[in-house]
Amino acid sequence: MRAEPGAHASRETPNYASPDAAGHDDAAISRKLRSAIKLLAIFCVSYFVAAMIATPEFRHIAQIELLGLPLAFYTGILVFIVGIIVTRMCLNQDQER
Amino acid sequence: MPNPIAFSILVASLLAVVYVSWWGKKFTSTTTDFYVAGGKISARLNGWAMFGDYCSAASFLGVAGAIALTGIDSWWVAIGFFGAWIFVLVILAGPLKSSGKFTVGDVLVGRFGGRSLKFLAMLTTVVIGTLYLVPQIVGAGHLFQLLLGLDYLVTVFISATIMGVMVVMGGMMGTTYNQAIQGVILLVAMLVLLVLSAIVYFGGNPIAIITQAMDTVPPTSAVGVVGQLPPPADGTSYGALALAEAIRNGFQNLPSALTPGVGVPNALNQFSLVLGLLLGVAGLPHILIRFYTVKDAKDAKKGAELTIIGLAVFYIAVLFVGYATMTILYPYLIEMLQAGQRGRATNMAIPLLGMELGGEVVLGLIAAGAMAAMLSTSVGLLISMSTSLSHDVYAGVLRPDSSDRERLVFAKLGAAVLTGIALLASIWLKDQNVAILVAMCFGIAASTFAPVLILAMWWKGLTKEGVIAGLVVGLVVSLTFTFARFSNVPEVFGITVLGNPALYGVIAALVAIIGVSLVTRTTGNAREFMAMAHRG
Repeated sequence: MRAEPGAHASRETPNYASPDAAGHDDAAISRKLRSAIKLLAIFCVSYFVAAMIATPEFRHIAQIELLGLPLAFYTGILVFIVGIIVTRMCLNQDQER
Repeated sequence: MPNPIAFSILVASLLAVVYVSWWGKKFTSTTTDFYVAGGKISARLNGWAMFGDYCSAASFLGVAGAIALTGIDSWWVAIGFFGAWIFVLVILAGPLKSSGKFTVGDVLVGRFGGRSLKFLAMLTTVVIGTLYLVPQIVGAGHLFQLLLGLDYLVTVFISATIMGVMVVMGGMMGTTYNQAIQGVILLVAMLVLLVLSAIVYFGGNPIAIITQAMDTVPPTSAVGVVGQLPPPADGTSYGALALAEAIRNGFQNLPSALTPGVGVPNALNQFSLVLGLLLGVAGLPHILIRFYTVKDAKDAKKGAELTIIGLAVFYIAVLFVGYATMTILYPYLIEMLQAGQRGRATNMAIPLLGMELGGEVVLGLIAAGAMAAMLSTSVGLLISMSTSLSHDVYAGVLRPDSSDRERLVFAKLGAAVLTGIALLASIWLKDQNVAILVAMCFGIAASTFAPVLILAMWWKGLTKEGVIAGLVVGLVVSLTFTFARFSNVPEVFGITVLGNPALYGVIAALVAIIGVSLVTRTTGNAREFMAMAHRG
């Protein structure tokens, strides 16, 4: 086996030393950050609400029955559905860019 | 030998794994091939490999087993395991691929430079990886114990040895194919269990599994009252359904398997657990290294999407299989709890369900699936640790002029030592639920790499000193609370020890990172690094 060129970084020098080499666009990074935060916010609302209503303090909410099953069951399933929707939205945004 | 057919199926699957590793070696001619398969893996293959890598003993054995014992509250671990991937996809996958090469250390050095960061990144990788290895060995030890009837000490030794040998055998290409194949096996095995359970015991209707669970007191709640039941009128012992019905009718104040909030101590514990799970994958080295095996950031995200869809199907199936296990094995699970074998009951419920549904053949298939889960995760862990040891420390710090062969020997020796340490820890923690052990590792990862990496990708004001402070503080705090939890210490410096260390670890790490960054100036090549990370 032979060593790949550049297979280990130098001791002290960062890899991206030249500003011209990479270029940068603060506005684009800010836009990406904002869209990432929006997507995460959508998911985190469903995730943390579902998690917290299933605790002893709030279980009277999670125990509300809908169609014979407790709300906790539906909110758990909802996390998966929201997760897949957010995933698709994230990849769609990438394609639009 | 108690189960010769099942054991034969397991051995055949192990030989297949060894063959794939051996086959993969011919694609490994450079160190880049060994570490990340030359970045040539397709998005789809990587998606399946990430699924196989991620679905460890915790997912396949621990979560379903815990649901079978305690009910719906244990499903939260699975939901958290899933949620973590959304976080990684949205915030980290693309920038990570665009800015790194082999390891987390590369990303940090890419922005800040310096040997200290490489060493610290390696140390954190090794701590998380070794602790994550423990539940894989515990699960494999219990599985071999069930199949061979040997003592636990012997079986964990065998399991750890197999895992160590697998690392010596292969590079990332063989590991990728193995993980992808094992991912498919895991998903199919879980779905087969669901379909067989529904057909054999629930009239072909999976919803009946849930409605039966509504009328069942979980074994952990039933174990305290089962002794108060009168013997059956015909003088025989209770069948599974009859026992569940007798306990339900006799003790109507007890919760059902779908009653939420029974197994969760309080909101603070739950918040710490779900926070740790959400952030954890963003700090797991064996998962992060997989993003470097593809061509670019788009492929990294496409692969993650496939993994996410697979995980959604898998973890919803886990809920149904857990409940089916509870119904079908009800008396047996209660007996194991009465005998004080909670860890074994949790971790072995699924293989026992396989035995119940289809005898030794299905037991063998499930055992092969479980072993696939443990091996793919373990080998992924050991490769990520070996890469970090060899690339970050040996080649990057200790001996930059070393030959490739010396680096490889160093990596493999290190992997052997770490396997030994994990083996000792597996003996100490033999009765712990593997899902809980894994969740603790998520907590440590969430307190260390996750905040550092996220801020490195998105915050220009992050400094090198802030990264070091965050990694050290996060590691110390999360480890302190992890070991306090396992040692049954209720408080540390007056702070209540929670089931998962993430809440304290993440807050402490963030305070350290942001606080130190605000008073220091070494922001590295922030603009160039971020432009590189967010290109495309």
